[in-house]
Amino acid sequence: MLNAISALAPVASQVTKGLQGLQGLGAAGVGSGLGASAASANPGADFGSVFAGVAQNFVDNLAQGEAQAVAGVQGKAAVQDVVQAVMSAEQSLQLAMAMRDKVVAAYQQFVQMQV
Amino acid sequence: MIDPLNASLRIAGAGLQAQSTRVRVVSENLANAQATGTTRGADPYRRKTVTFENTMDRALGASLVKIKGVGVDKAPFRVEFEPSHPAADDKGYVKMPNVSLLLEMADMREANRSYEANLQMIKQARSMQSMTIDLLRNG
Repeated sequence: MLNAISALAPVASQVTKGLQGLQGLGAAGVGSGLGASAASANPGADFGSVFAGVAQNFVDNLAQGEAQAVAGVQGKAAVQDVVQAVMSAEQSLQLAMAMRDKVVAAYQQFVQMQV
Repeated sequence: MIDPLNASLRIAGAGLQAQSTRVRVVSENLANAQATGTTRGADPYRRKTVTFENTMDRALGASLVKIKGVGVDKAPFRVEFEPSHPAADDKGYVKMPNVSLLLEMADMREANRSYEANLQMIKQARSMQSMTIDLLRNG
């Protein structure tokens, strides 16, 4: 389970790189794309680093969920802790999936753009 | 600073743990309601009580509930006349634990209700998080 998820991290960074490219495109004068608007909303951090942070958080949450689940099966952790960790992992999985869908949709919009 | 919804999940989780400890103590009291001493005139099981306190969690920035300690009830023991019992005193009276079944049942119900309230809190915070993520999905 964890392997499939950690395999997502490089994919996420690939997408992020792609998006940074898009951001450069936006700055070159083609128009204000997704990256440019994200950067203007939060001048300290670009969209790529924000996305990388979310992905890292997601991987951490998932690892913690799995560790707690194993501890719970072994009878070492309270049921409440296990449920909480697993629910947190599920929540961040959903957030990551929703963000991935959005990013892919944005990427496809750029790919299909008529020039 | 952590997300407030995540914080409320953790706070309610601490509540769940506190109430489970309370249920554990109630079950100890109920199970030991007949536990007398074994030697002449010895004291029987003494009823345990639970006290809660709030602790400031610095990482969370919120007050969590925690078990302060498991104390003992100082109430006097019941006595029963049973001269053949090993714990009977010179006059034939045996000291029985100061556990009242009615009180323990009421305590158990209260713990149960409080547990439910905390679960409801978790459900609510979780559904708010999910709704916000759904906004990203098909908003």
